[in-house]
Amino acid sequence: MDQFEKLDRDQFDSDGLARGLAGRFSVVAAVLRAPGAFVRDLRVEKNLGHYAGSLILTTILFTAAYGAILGMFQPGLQTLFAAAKLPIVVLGTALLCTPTFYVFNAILGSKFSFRQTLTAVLFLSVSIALVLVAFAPIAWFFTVSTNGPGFLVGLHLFVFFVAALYGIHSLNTARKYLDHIETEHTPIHAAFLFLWFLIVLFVALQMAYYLRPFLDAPKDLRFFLGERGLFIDSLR
Amino acid sequence: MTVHALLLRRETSVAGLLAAATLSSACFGAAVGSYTGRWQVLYDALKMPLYLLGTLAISFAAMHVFAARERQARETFAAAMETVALTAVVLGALAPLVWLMSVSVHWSPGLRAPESQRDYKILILLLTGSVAVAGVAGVGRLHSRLRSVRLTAAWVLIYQFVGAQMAWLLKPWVSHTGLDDRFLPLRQNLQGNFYESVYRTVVGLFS
Repeated sequence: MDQFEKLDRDQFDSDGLARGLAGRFSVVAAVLRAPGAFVRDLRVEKNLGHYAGSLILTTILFTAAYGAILGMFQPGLQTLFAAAKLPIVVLGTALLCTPTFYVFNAILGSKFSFRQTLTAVLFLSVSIALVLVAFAPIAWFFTVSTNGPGFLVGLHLFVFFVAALYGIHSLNTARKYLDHIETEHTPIHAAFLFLWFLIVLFVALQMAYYLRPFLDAPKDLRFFLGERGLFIDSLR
Repeated sequence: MTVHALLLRRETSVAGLLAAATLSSACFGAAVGSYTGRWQVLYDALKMPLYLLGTLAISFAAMHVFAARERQARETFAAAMETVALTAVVLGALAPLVWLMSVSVHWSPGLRAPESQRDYKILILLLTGSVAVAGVAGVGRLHSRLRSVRLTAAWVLIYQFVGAQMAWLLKPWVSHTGLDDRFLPLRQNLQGNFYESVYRTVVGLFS
C-alpha cells in the first residue's frame, strides 16, 4: 500500500487532548499510530494549542524518565539532577532552534505560522522522547548491572543515536505528507530541513556538554557547574 | 504579526517594520553581547538596531538618488525598510543559537588560554556567518522589490560602504578583554576609520 494512502487513513480525535490528564497523553497514540491525522490537523491549525501543550508535557516527562536512568549510575542527588537536565536539553534545543526553522522556511516559500512551526518541532522532540522512554527499561537494566562507565556511555550514545534517527525520520515523513496534501505552498523545505537537523544536532550536543555531567557525580553537589567549553573538547 | 506578513511578502506598515527591525536586531545584539556578559548585553542590544537603522538613515538619500528616476521616495524607503527589517528578522532567528554559543564556549581573561582563543575564533566565524546569511536573505528580497540588478548592486554597495564604518564607530561588539565598561569609546573610535585600518593592514602585510 502506498505510504500516503496509509497516512490518509489515520484517524485521531484531537478534541480528546483537552480531556483531563489521560487525554493529554493520548497524543502519544497520535504520534505512534496516526501521524497522518496529526499532520492534517497541523495543516488546518486544528487544536494546535492542545497539541502543543500535550507534546511539551509528554516530552518533559519521558525525557525526565530517561534522564533519571542516566543519573541512576550515581544514585542520589545526581539521579534527580540528570532527570531535570535531560528535558532542558531536549526541549531547550527544540525551542532554541524553532525561530530559525520558522524564518528560513518562510523565506523559502512556506506559509506556516509560528504556532504551526512550533508544533512541528515539538513533534520531532516528542518522537525522540518516545524512543528514549521505550529504551529506558533496557538502559535501567544495564545501569544497575554494570560497574564501569565505558559500556554505559556507548549504550546511551547508541540509544540517543537511534532516537535522533527516529525523530528525523518522523519529521521527514510529516514533511513528505504535508507536501503531498498541500498544493499551494511548500510547508517545510526539504533541503533546508536536513541542514536544520545538523544545526539541531550541534545545538543539542553543545547544550548537553554545557549542562554536564550526566553520568558522573556532580562536583560539590552543584546542579550547574558553569564550566564553559565546546562539546568537541569531550572527545579529547 | 508584522514579522509573519514581512516573511510572506504581504502588506506591511513602515511603523511595523521599524518595530520588527528594532526588536529582532536588539535580540541578536543581546546574544552577541552575552559573550562578554553583564552590561555588554544591554550595550550590544542598543548598538545593533542603531547600526542597521543608523546606516539606513545616513545612506538613504544616496540610495534614493539612483532610483529616483522611476520611483517616489515613499516606495524606495518602503523597499529599503523591508530589506533592513528582513535582515534583522533573520538575525533575530539566529539569535538563540548565537546566545547558546556565546554563553557556553571557553572564555578566559584576555583570551590567555589556547582553548578560549580557538573558541573566540569559532564565535567570530559564527557571527560573520550569521550576518552573511541574513545579508543574503535581505539582498534577495531587495532584488525582488527593485527588479534591477544594477540598482540592487548600487544600493548594497552604498549601504555596505557606510555600514562598515558604522560598525567600526560602534565597536567594541565582542570584547575579548572581558571589559564591559565602555558603551562607546568615541575618542578612540574616531581616530582613524575602517578603510584606513584595512589599508594599513594590507600595507603591513607587504612591508
